[in-house]
Amino acid sequence: MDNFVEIVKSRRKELLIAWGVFCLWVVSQYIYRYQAGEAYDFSVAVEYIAGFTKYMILPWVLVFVIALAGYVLGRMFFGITAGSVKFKSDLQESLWAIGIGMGLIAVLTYLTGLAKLLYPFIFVLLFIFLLAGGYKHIIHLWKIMKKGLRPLDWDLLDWTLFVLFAAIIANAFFLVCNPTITYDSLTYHLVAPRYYLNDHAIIYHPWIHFNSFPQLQEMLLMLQMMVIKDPGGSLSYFYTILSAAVIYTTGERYFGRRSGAIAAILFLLIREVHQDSKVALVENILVFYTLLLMEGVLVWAETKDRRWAVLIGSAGGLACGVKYFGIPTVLFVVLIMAIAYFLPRFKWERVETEIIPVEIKEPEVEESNIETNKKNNKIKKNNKKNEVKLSPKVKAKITKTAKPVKPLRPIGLIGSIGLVILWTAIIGSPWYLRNIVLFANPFFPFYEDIFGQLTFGTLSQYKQSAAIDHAEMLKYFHFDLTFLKLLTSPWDLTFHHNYPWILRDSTGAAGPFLLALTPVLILVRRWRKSAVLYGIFSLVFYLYWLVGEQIQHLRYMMSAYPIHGLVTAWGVTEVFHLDKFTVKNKAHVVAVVLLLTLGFSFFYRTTSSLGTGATNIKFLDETRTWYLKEQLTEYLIIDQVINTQIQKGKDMVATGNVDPRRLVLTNETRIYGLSCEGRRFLVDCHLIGGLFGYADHAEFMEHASSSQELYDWLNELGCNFLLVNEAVAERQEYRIEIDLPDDELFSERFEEIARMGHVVFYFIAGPGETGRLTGLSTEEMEAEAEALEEAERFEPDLFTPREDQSDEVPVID
Amino acid sequence: MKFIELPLTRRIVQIALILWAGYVIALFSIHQHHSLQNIPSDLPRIAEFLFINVVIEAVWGIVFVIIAYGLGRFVLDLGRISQDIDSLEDDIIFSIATGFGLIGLGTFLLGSIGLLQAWLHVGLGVVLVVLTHRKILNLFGALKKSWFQDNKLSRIELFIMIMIGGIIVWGLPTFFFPLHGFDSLNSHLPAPLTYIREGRISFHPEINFNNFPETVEMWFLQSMLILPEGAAQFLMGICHLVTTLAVFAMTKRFFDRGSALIATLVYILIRKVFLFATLAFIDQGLTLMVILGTYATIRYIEKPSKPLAILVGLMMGFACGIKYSALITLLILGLLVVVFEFVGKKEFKRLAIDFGLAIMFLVLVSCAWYIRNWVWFHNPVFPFFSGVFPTDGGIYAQYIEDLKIEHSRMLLMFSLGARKTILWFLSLPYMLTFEPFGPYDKAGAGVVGPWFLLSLPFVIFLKRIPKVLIVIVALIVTTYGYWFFFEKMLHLRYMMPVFSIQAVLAGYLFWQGLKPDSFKFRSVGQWLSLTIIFCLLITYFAGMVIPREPRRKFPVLQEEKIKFYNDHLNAYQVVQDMNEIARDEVGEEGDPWDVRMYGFYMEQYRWFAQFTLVGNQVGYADHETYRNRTSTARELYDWLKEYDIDYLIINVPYASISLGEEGQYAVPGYRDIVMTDWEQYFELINSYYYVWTFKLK
Repeated sequence: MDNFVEIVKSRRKELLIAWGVFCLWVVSQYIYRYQAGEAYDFSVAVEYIAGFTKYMILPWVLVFVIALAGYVLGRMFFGITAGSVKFKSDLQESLWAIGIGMGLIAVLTYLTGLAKLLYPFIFVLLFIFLLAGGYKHIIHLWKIMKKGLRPLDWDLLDWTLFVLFAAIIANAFFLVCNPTITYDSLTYHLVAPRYYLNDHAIIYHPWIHFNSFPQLQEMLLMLQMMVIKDPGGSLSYFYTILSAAVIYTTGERYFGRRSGAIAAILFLLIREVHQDSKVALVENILVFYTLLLMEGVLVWAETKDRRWAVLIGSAGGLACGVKYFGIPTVLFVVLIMAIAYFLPRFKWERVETEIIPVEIKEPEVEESNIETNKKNNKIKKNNKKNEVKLSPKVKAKITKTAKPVKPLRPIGLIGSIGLVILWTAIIGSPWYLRNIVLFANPFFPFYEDIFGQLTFGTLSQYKQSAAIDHAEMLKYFHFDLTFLKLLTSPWDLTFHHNYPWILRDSTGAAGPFLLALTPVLILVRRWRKSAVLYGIFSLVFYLYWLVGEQIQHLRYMMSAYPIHGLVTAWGVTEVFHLDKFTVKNKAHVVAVVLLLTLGFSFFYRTTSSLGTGATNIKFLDETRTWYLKEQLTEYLIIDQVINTQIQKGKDMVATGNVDPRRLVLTNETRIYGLSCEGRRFLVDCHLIGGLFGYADHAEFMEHASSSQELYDWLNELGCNFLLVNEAVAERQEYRIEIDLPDDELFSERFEEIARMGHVVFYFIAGPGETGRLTGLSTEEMEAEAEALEEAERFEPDLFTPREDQSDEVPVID
Repeated sequence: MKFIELPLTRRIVQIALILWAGYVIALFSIHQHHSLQNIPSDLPRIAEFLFINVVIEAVWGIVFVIIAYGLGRFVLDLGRISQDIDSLEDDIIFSIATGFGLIGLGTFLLGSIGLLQAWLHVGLGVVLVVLTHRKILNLFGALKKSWFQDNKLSRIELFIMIMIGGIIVWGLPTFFFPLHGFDSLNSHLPAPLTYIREGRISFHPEINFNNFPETVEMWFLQSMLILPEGAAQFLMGICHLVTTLAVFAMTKRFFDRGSALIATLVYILIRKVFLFATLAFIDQGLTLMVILGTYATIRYIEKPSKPLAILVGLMMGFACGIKYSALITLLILGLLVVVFEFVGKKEFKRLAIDFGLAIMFLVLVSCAWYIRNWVWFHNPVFPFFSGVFPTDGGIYAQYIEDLKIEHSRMLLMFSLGARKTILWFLSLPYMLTFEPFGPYDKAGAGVVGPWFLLSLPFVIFLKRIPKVLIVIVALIVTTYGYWFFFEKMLHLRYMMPVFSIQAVLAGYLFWQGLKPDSFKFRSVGQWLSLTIIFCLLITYFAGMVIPREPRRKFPVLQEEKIKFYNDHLNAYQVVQDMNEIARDEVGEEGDPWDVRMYGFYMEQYRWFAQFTLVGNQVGYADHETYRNRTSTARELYDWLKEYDIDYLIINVPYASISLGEEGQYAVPGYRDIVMTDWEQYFELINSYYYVWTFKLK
């Protein structure tokens, strides 16, 4: 027996690992059985692991590789442009390096695309060069990451905020890798990179919406898409995490650590932020660069270091590369710089010891003596609790930071602003220069009233229709401003949805916290300069959209939320003295429990519960297909008819077995999609047409007055097929009635070759042509549909027990 | 703006801001999930609904618990039993349980003599509060002192506390869902409602198992005296929370605080346990009393004393007043005391006296139910042991055969059948985790969860095995063994009290095996790992532990509540229609309860019926009998008339589910509706999605 005890004691680690494996098996088996009603076998395990790796891990690995390369490039860039610029913390430096570096990688990718060199091997070489050449930076990153994991003398409240923050992020970490089903992503954000990769070049595609807009995100997506077809929202989510981290670092330095932590959580709790971060949309990336810009302004205002103006300009350039709205954002930032200069000098009243790394030395205790020394250790620990050891390096840093900064002269301000504008122009210019070349308008399709007359652009023939399309789209978000509406806008933005045609739910996407907590600012006694500047920025931002553009589209206002949130969180912390709060007794523990529970409940039930997101991760081919089919009515016909035909066509060409009597669909085939633009990404050939794109619905209907005209027009567009979603098109919000001609010629020329529900696929036949698709069988399609239904069985849905597994227990007392 | 700097103004504004924030966040959350069409007009309706269905229930529940505590503590002090209660947790759990038990007993005695008037019981409650106010104030004082003491918990203990607190807070709304659950709607709730309506406690053969002990139903009755729908589910939620505290207290006393916290966490994550915490069943009440009885027993084994013996007697007596199955636990506990206490020490006299005391108190608090059975059936444990007792007399002798058959049929459903082998018994830890038990857990994993199986390997890490651990293991093994080998069935609901003991064991094993207190939990990495655990457990709780019904949207308006019922119960609307018909039939002066309707597979609508709904799945005049009586429409008609039935309701969809694939053909109405002579005797007056109502001509 003694021997056994000794063995167990000496092999404790190995035994715990064995238990871990056992635990994994039991829990996975339990969950699988709960859902599937039977045990899984080895092949199922392999299938699950492979699927998870492919669909859930790989997108993140790619993001991390890009981020790592970005970090290296970012630090190299700082070395070249800003010399030895000083950051306030390692975390801050890392965030800036990754953010700027990833942006620069996007710009490089863009230039490579313009040079028609979009080949994966070029990027493999680029990454090898960056990672190998910048190995010192990687080692540096590794060291600071290790340092970041050091013990921290945080209170339980801080750790609770950390758990809440991390839990919110963890909750959707893999969810973002689900198949994309979001309209904007499927219509253009993911489509453009896909087309560019096919073409190995960046070429303007008129039927992809907003294809002339800046495309920083699309460039990074393209890097992911060189490896995986649908990277989901991993990139966008990564930027959201970065944004939350920037909020924290800014808060830590200029608002108080707890203010930063609370603001970061408030940011993540905003539904619009959460929903948009889970899919390939640009807004969260713009939010990130806006946050960098504002943080840069604060550091610049504190240090008066012009090198920060360079960094602000670089971030500004990248913001302009994300979205046109980056330009006004940079202008607002410049305004804030000027205000910061003229505002009376506030004290940067942070206690320096709070923000610099503090080394807490734990008394080292041998494991075997833990029991006996427990009491002693406790005493030692208590004695050491308030004993903060500062290394000489840190002490030097305090002295250095505390040194008074020389006041900046007006010329210095102008110089800094000049640097910001210069660097913004340098970094952001590629997108705008291209537009000048293509459309003779750097901001195409905006400001066509100014640039409309210029026709030297190589693609000026698209100018008019694209400008009309975009103007039409903006009309949806426009509202007539009255003074009363402006006054009630905080309430309206909180409680009323702002999407004119899609009733996602009944509340505003900004969430309730900004409206609920902002009034607390009236009790603040001493305003910080940082809070004043952030307050002004968010106010200007809101007013720009509400008054200037008269657009109430909450997604456009997203950049203001975290900045507004920081001021609000700071106000709450100040007024309720949260920065001094420590958890001392059970009542405090209860308060902390409530904070965590209610915070996470709100996130779980409100923030993450709505919108276009699944509640479960989809990592098996069956479940992904089933999910797409469930969510997108057109998917079955796209997958089972169009893409299958293209694959068959490819096989026939590859084997040389081309039947001259049959038409072969290829990647180059053009299908006109009526109300199917939101599925463009899923089609393996060109799906042209769309609600806002050129040749839009109205134009389609104009040409649909007669069969002959429609046929001629589609022929002119090079379309052999027509895909119509009658249900979507006829929805009232689109205000378009499908009224296809109903005559003999139509039935002769438009052969209905597949119909699934409201989705119809027509072959546009030339005179005498008919039924020429390859091997299309209705039975085959039906069988596939049944198979998809069957695939639901594999759905690893934790939340829905099998139908026959009832919690209900009949009389058995 | 200077006025805002005044401390009082500032405090007022702060409170106003907190209220504003709460209002906005709450309104947003409600608005988002319930799409309020018109906020100004909808809000008062929501407030009214929540006030009636949540706030009043919660207030009543809390007051009930406070009264129970005061009464319990008063009685424990009176009998000097409390001298062995030496911790705040023990004080709370034993006092509340004693109070609950005594209130149940008192209600039964008053009800038996026809004293079920609301004013009387409210008055008694006030008297109890006045009598025991010092005890209550002492408790508040002790709680305040304990709550504001500096905590000495380690980081991991704090984290587990946060997890437990989080899960409890997450689970709270489930206690306030509209009443649901087959047995609740069929028997546990209609019984007290019927007693209140009649003003006394009497036998109702149409309500299943109406002769069984009904202490928990007496608590429900107390709530129904004041609240129209009572607070039954919340009461069971309270029992769940008190049981959770009992698990904590027991583990803390016998092992340590870390193990206690893990045991508590394990306990609240058991699917079966939480299911019954959200239903108005009696099992949570039983679990509470049994674990307290066990706790007191083990304490007695550790350090025998008369107060502990009396406490064991009280707790197990109350348990026997809740459900017959407590008698089995009682026997096992007695056996354990004999083995662990008597065999070693041979203190015959002391043990005999203590046994005598325990049995005396046990009989005192539980005998009422058994005497009632004697009067009704000449068998105190009817329908069990009918061969032993002269079960042929009593005032309800005419129902004896029906009731005996009914119960034996029910037991058959849980028979282990071919699975009853030694090997199968030995593999129970695996089977309980992965295998469904009982006829209604057809698929999926076991309802217990993976925790016990996961804890077992840690046995090898134990350096020494404490005596308490041996007692606990013996209790668990004996209980399973008894049901397995002697009763030849394993119904997991009957095992719920054992799950609480298993949680104690699992907590100790986990703590000893993982030794989480050796980590300081001061770095980001360590807290990240805790965050992942938090996410996994919360996901597990939200996705698998919370039962299906409460996972739905919480209703905040009356129409949403009705929708909940309509979604959940296919014949809900039919019963509402029949309520109206019954009222119309008797007119304003008459009593709609005089209208008798036979419901075929309509048992769980008894709670909603405002007429006498006869017939149930295994009850008297049961479905099989019904089927046997339906070879012709005339025969059925005569048989129903024999029972003074005016209407016949047939729920075809539910019968089809319950009777299997051939269900719909086994439903007489479904088959016989096409019979030539059907229309001569039955007139179809209501048809609602294959739920037919006929009037007997």
